[in-house]
Amino acid sequence: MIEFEDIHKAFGAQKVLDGVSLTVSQGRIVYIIGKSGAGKSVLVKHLVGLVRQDSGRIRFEGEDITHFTERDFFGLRRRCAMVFQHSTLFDSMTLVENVALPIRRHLGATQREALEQAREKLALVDMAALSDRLPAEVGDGLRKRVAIARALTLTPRYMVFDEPTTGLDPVNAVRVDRLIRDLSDRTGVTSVVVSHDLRSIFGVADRIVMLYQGRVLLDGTPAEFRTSHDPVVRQFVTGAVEGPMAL
Amino acid sequence: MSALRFAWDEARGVARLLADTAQALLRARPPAAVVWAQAFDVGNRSVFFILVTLGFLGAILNFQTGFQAQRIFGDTSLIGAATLPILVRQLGPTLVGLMVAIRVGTGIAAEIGSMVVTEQVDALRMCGAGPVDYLVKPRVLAGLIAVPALWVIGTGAAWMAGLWVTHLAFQTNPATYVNLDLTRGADVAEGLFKAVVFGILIPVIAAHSGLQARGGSEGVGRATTQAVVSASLAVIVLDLLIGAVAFGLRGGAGA
Amino acid sequence: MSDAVARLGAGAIALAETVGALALFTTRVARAALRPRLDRFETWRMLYRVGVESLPIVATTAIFAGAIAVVQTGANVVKFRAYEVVGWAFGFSVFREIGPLLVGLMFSGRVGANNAAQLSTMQVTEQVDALRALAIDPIEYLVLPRVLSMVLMMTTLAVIGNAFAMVGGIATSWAMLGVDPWVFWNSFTEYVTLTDFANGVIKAAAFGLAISLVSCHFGLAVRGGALGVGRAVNSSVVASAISIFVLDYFITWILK
Repeated sequence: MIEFEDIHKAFGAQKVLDGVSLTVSQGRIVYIIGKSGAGKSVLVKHLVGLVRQDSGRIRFEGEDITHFTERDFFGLRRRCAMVFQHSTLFDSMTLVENVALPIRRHLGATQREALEQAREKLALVDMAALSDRLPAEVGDGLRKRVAIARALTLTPRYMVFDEPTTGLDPVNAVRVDRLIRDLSDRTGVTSVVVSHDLRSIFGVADRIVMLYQGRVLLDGTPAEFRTSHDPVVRQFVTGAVEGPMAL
Repeated sequence: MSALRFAWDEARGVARLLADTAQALLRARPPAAVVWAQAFDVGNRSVFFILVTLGFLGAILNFQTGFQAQRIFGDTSLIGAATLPILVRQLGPTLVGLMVAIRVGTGIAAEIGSMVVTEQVDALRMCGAGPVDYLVKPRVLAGLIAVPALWVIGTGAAWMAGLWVTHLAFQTNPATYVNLDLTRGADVAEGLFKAVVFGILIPVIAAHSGLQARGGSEGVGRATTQAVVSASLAVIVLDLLIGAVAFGLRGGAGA
Repeated sequence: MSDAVARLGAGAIALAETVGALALFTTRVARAALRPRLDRFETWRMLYRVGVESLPIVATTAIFAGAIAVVQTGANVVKFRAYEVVGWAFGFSVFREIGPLLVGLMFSGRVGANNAAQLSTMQVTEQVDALRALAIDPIEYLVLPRVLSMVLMMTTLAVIGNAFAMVGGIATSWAMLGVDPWVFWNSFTEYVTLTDFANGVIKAAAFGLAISLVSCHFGLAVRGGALGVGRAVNSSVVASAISIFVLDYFITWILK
């Protein structure tokens, strides 16, 4: 279980998070939505310690991680993995080497053993055939799948996805959605997904949290979102140009 | 040997850019104010760097020489006289050249390189402003003015550092250090010539690398690295060539 | 006038900030080095890359440096008829000073700049964050192997460079001063000591350490996109050059 309590975060003069509180229950897929720049990525990066809050508490599986040092976060990051928005594979390594790296570093495997295990992981996301390519040589959708495979190597209980389908063509987007859903159904992984892809949101999410002006505007089931009368929510859901949200 | 072929391609590319720049210069000289402003900028950006590096160089050179002199001759009075000509015609221009290659070379390559990868250079071309005219020409002229000036400043700094160090370490009388007897006009000419050549070539080499940048941040990184390596190598090679010619002109082994 | 003073002050503050940041970085690396969990695979990869990158350029520079040393002192040699001591003078000046200095500067340009470029590109594209998210310490995984391989390589290159410089020196003495290679070699082996050699090697190792720390620091501390990368490379080579000269001076002074 993950708990955010009254998180405040500002970058210079710009207040991005203005008292955000939310709870993510075990085994659920929670979507954090909002317009660009609403603070969604910033919020989830707090979980893995890539951003530190100005004030507020965060609890991860009951443990207060508010004052964790970088060293402390290393332990946490093995239980909570992150898939970045731009996949962020290491471009000096092949796809299979990318996946092998955490296996080698954390599971005490030799490079050869790690490569074998990495190939298995890539097979799980249908990428085994291209394992010896470089990231620059394959398309965005495929890179995303490799990034997910890499994040799964340490069998984390929690996964954070930062805009997993943004910039992907519809076919690859559906594939990624399905991966996220499968992961949760089969292994009970808790997923926190940042997105503004409506199809994914309503297709995959167990719960949706909308951020607006640094605060949680609505926190509920997809059905509650669809039927909400809040003008901001309506504008987001219908994609209308007119409405309270400035563009 | 792909390294040799790379060097050859590089040399050819630079030569072509040099020719293009010369042509552009003959067609139209940029306004004097712009050139002076650029030269001042180049000088300004490098002056502190040159002062520090050449200052330490002068200190090291005189310290080493003084130490050996003291060990062998027991007398350090000729240090100033002996080290000055070397400083003026060789160590000064070469190291100023290397430092300019490092500071200004990477600066130019980074600026032009990032303009290339963000397609600003293409935009310039659309507006009818060729990169050679607009980007390379003023920088070459600026280098032509600034580098000899930096040579004077750097050599001066090295010389003064030597004065200070020999006085502190060997109690050398400053009056004996300040000795221009062994320094001849030919040395100054050689040093100045090197400085002028470096001043022209380093911006051209750096601009050439910058204009070849391809592929985002990685391309800019590669362009800046290439600029500093090519420019440094050019300084060293030219230093030898000009030095050898000067040696021959001075009468060679029969001087 | 006050504008110039203000700029000078701002410059001084910026300098202090940079030196401070560099010092902090060095302590972090030192602490990681105390409990080395070196990634052997990555270290070997780095050693290979650094070696391949730097060898041609250092060899070329060294030959030219040797030749330059002879050309520049040639007039004095002839004037004082000091043909016998050419080997010695050459040996001690190249081994102690010119060799490590020029090799250091070229290494900083070739390897240091490349290193700063690569690390800054990684930082700008969030790959360093990705490492941290995988619970891999960038200092352990990226920096330590680079520092180790650059120090080892610089030291090796100083030795190899000396050999190449000798070739350049002997050839030039023969061609321009008519000094017989044997005479050169004899005076060299007679007067040049192991201390001269060791002096140069120690300097080279120190330069390697400085270049690696500086390039890693500026690479990882980059801000901004493509232009930031260019600036990181620029800062890296400039700071490396200053470090080389400062270290050269102090080592020369201490080892006397």
